[in-house]
Amino acid sequence: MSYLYRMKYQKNGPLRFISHLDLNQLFRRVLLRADIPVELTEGYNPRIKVSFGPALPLGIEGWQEITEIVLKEPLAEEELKGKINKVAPSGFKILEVEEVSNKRIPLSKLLRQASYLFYLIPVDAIDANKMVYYHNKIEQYVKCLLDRKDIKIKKESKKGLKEVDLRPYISKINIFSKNNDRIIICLILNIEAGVCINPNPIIQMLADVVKDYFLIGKIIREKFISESLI
Amino acid sequence: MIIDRNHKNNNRNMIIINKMLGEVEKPGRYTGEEYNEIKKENDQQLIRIALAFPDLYEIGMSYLGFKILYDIINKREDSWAERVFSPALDFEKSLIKNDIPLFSLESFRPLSEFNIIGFSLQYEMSYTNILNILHLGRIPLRARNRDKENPLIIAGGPVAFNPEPLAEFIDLFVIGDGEEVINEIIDIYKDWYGKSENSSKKELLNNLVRLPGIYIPSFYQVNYHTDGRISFFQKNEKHAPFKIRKRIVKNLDKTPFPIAPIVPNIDVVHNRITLEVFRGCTRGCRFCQAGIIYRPVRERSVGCLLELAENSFINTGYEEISLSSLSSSDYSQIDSLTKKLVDCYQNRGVGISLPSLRIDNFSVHLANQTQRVRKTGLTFAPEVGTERMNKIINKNVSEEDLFRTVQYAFKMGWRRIKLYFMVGLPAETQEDIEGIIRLIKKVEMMGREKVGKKFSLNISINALIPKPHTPFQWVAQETEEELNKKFRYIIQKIRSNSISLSFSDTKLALLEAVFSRGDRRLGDVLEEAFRRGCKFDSWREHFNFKSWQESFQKFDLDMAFYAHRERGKDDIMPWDLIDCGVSKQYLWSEWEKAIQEANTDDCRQSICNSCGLEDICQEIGINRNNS
Ligand code: SF4
Repeated sequence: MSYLYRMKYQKNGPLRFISHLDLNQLFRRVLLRADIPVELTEGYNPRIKVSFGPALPLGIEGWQEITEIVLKEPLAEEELKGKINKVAPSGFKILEVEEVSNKRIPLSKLLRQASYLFYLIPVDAIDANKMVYYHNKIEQYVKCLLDRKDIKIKKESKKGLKEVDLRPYISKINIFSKNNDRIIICLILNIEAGVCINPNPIIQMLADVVKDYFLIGKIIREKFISESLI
Repeated sequence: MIIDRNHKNNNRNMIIINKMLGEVEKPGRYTGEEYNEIKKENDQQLIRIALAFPDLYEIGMSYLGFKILYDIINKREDSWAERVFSPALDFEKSLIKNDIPLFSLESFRPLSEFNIIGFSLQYEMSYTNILNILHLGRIPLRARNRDKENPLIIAGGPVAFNPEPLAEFIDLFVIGDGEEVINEIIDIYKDWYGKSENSSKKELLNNLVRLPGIYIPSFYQVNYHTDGRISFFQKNEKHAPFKIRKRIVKNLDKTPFPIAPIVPNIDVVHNRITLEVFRGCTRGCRFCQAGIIYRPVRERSVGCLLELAENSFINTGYEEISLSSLSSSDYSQIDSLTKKLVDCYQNRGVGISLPSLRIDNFSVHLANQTQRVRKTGLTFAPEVGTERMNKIINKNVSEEDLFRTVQYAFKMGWRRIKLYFMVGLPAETQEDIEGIIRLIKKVEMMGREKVGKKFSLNISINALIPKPHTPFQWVAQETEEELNKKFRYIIQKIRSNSISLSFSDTKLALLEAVFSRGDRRLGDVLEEAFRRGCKFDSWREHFNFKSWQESFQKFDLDMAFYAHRERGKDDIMPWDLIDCGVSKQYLWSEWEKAIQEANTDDCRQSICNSCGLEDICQEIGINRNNS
């Protein structure tokens, strides 16, 4: 028997600066330290298996990222969480654990959308009127953007420059202004055929609208929206 | 990550640093906060020590010595050891642009605010990076320009066995094993620091020089003949000794070992548990410095190693345990140790690895125990291609040994072999070069026959760099032209899809040879080259030979004098004050034997060769029957 556990975790602080590959390594070590009865791969050089949701680009904080592990023996959800968090490095924390042995859907099928938040912080202090002005400016831009048939950008790939259309990936863009100190933008992107595109080009486009007056503060992947919730 | 750091790098700087991190490559190098990192409170009362590694984080975090010292110092309640590495060029630019001094990873404190900075000296070509770290940390480069308000700059590691090229910059060198002496240094420093208001840096140094194994270059003056050779040393301080005997840890089982090393968040060169099985090697290869300066051989017991392995595993969760030493298969209990480790860890998702294997079937058998299925590749170092040269370098491995070993490796399922060779050896002839080529071709033929298409052979050919404290310390390094000619010849003769050849950069090898056996006059050249932008010299893409040449010209010093000059028996060497335990006389006799093509046996298998360490060997019970 094997037991599948789906876990939500946080990746922030110093860990927002490490790659997906490094995170994978790091998590395997956490599991070994925590002495979790993880199932190993077959063969003479057995290794532990973990699977992760879509990669988080460098610099972005993850508030509710997703990973799955397979255990040889069942473990109470709270216990599993406690054991891992006890030996996790700063910036990594399991938030929720759910045993999902009976609903094995691959993460690539399960996750439909990813929701991002980012802050635009004024370079110099500005008053409420100005804030409304910039807010509207971005809103107009977003409207035009979403009206477009396609949003093509050039992306560097292994085989040189590649053209990608961002439009089908964008589901929603919402803009909030909090007091006078920042504009918060919420960006919901579709995950198509397991591909979760990097939000940075879109964030950059929006930030460019108010280029000389605002800086991008934090970028956060807030959560995933999965099949069952839609 | 900002909490509690505000009084060090202030709040404004922390915001800037966070922003900088978002803009550089691999920011994980600079954030700290890895698992097992040590943080301490009330740091105003602590002796603050920065352990500095003059290369990138990924390199420095792979060295065991660095972890050992971090562990020892942080076990003390009165001190806090932090880390600092060379920033990569993009981060350096960003530091300068934003006017932020280089800081430690633990507390983000600027380097200039530390009590002591300890540099790890692993290779000569990191010297410019040392100057760069001091510079970015806003600390005066020259020892004489620093007073008691500045950090005390100390250094240790294998390269400290010729400290002279750094004599101008470092206050104090630790010679030999650092485990015990580091505590003694801190004790004395702390004592002095308590009353430092009325005391001088000189007084501190005078207290420290009484410790065995401490070399303080400013306490000596070096005088030269008109031809540039050293005429004599003179000391400026009464208590400075004329022989600095290296420190030796006698019992490794009782020596602290870092069982909870920092686990980097990002990938580093060696991301694994490093289990130091033994220290030292007495095979006596005549080009090898490590084989001399780490003598005598001191082993850890199997029981101790198993315990260290288990604790390290629990504390780190690493998926690999590497048995480290200068020649793993020489450990007296290697078979049983390997077997026990494999039995214990293979079902827990942890692999065992054995770098630095001897050339024999037994080693292949060991490797086979650890890599049963995933046979990644085997590396051997035959070094030379003729029987005669084997005798000159005293590497007692015959051609047949190599062929038999490789044959066995193929049989056991390996497909990838890597071989190391060395050229530019003393008394080398065309025949020796042909010998190397013949060996490579033969191994290739065997591989094609036994393995077929999937066979691959990796050949690395390096120029000899004559090192201090070796029998070859008197030898002239071959010139670039000679070396390149040999390299080209080998390339011409070896053309095959299954072989990949790599050679050392001859300009880099030249410079390394210069600094290996350099004297303290090179300090000026070093600083000049640094001012001209030289750093990361061992990274080919950063190495700028022209700047180095210009720097030598400016001070009218000649690279050839250091690299290509054969030394005489009675020449005073710049490192003659440093006593590595093996006597100069023994080294000379080994050099004479080299020319006579005579072997010297390993004292573990045969009688004591009276290399100079008899007192220590007797004390710790090595070669008891024979010496
Ligand atoms: S003193 Fe003798 S036994 Fe000791 S290392 Fe030297 S040769 Fe070997």
